[in-house]
Amino acid sequence: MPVSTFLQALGAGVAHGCLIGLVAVGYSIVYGVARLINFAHGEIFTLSAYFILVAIAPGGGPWGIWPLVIIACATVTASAGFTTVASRLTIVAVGAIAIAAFRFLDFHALPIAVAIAFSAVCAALVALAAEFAIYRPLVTSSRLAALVASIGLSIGLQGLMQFTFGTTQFAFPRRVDLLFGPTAAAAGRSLDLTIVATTIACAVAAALFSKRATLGRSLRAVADDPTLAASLGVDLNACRRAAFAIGAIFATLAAFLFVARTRVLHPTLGYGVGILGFAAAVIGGIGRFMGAMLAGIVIGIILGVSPLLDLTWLARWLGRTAAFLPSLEPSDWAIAIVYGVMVVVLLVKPEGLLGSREHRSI
Amino acid sequence: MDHANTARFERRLFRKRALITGSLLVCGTTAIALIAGGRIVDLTVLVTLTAIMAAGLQFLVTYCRLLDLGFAGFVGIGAYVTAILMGRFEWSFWSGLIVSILLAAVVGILTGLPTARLRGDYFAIVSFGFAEIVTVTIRNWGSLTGGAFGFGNIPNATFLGMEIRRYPASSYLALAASIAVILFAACMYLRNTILGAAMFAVGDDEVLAQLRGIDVAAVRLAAFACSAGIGGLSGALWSIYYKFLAPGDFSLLLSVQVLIVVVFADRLPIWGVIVAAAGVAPLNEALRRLLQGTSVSDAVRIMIYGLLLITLTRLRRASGSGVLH
Repeated sequence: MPVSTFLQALGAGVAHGCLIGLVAVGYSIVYGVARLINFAHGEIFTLSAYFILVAIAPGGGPWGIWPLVIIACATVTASAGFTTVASRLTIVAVGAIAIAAFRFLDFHALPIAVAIAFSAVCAALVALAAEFAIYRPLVTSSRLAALVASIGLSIGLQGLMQFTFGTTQFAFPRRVDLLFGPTAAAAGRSLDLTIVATTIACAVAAALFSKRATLGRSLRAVADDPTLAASLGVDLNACRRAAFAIGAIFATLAAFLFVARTRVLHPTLGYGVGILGFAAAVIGGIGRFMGAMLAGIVIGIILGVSPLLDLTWLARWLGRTAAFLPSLEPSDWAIAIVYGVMVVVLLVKPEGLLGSREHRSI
Repeated sequence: MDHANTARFERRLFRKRALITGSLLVCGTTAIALIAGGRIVDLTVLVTLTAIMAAGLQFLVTYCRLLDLGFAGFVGIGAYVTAILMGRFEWSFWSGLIVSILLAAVVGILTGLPTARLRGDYFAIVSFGFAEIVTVTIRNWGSLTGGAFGFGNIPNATFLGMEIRRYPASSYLALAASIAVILFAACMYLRNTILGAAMFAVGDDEVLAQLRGIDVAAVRLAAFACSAGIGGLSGALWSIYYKFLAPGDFSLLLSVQVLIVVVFADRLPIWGVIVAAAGVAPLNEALRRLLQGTSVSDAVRIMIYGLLLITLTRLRRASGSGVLH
């Protein structure tokens, strides 16, 4: 097989993996701070892509004011999660500005980054609303309750998106493609490079944030030992909110690049991507975002390179009985392989490839 | 009143309240389902199937407090094994049933072996992944399972020469109900054995159970095997009722539906499962019929299930306990 095909597959795999890594960061941060697995993160990923589409689609898309209603409800709920009146008013103001922007602002005249920024803000609002309404009341409950609630939220959001946006598949308008290059091939390469560059930038930003910024250090402290952090004056609820918001912002970036790359957007998109991102978070060491990103890239490479594997010799070797074999196309089994790797990692090193063993006291 | 009497009184009061609420729920949802156009026989069959599945999932969720998101995978294994054995290899239903149960239990043990020591969070993840792997395998094994096109033309089961038909469903109902009764009796018996008590102990407090000498991993494995076996059983019944299988039938949504019933049933005796299934299963049927023809049918059903799950996590008993707390 020519080297160029392999390198091309590898490059595409790395880009795909970077996106999975960005999604995985959301799972990792939330687990580190709140000790819960937010199954709904995949849905926030999809929702942010829809928000971008609402912004840049001509006429706001065929969905009317319903997406704005979602943002409004999320704003109100999210604001209730804050403690001081000033912060609540700020959140409401932010939500109102976002709704006004979606309704009245002409995103065609502005760079796409504006649309992405507004969408990130709205996704963060939805995440904050989920944190306050669904997860915060379960802080004193068992892990099982939080898991069940996150499953419920995940499928609830999926249903909500199906209800609001319909099941038709959408793609970003042409101007997004034109952003990256004049022809399809050039755009593809340029897009992959943008993805890798964005991921590296996010990784650097996240590393600086967690080492230098007060909030970042607080997040690390809470991830390490919540009780100790609380007794030292760290606001646990603020850290939870920050974790959810940061996860949503990363998800928005990943969503934009993902939909720009694969040109499909439908309500169940988050399901597939979420599973992979989630596996990456577990493999990389849940709670450690660097591990999540690296594991995401590894998974992306596996998924990208596996179609090149040619197993047809097995069918020829078995001859007649090959009729009863399962499919030999490696890409069909990709998800199963990823899960297998995840199970193996959980068995051998449950804290993940880069994690450290969490000391549990009785 | 001393402590033991208070506890017993509270338990009785809770059961009485649960029975009343449950009966109201059953009447309500059944009425809606009938008004929406369902038939009593079909509804009863649905309730029986759901109750059997819930009895299976109970082992892991209620007793051991482990969230199993992959239960639908076992149902799928049972369904496809029975369908393939009956359809392609012309076995009888009963041999297919036994093979389904055994195969599902073996797969359950194989999945349980690596996960027996994992914490609750990771267990949910791995079980979810397992269900995905089952669906992917079914979809990819087109030569055996029909792949994404589904598997149809499943023949009828026969019992002592009588054929068990789909229409009218009364013969099928008799079959399902008798199997259910035997199963529930076995579950009730198991609850009162040492293994059952060990499962409850592991669910209540794992560390304490281990200190008391209970082999937590073995108990979890046993619960997994029972759960998987019953899942296989319900899958076999599923295949001869629905007569058409698609890989997408056994997805997370099915696991969620059974989970809702199990969480409703809490730690009540076995009638709790029956009442909970009778309350929840007609809801699905009612929603399906009421929303038939609208484009948002799936969406609304999914939303309602999500809302139901979220609400369930907020419900607690007055004493603050419950399956999820």
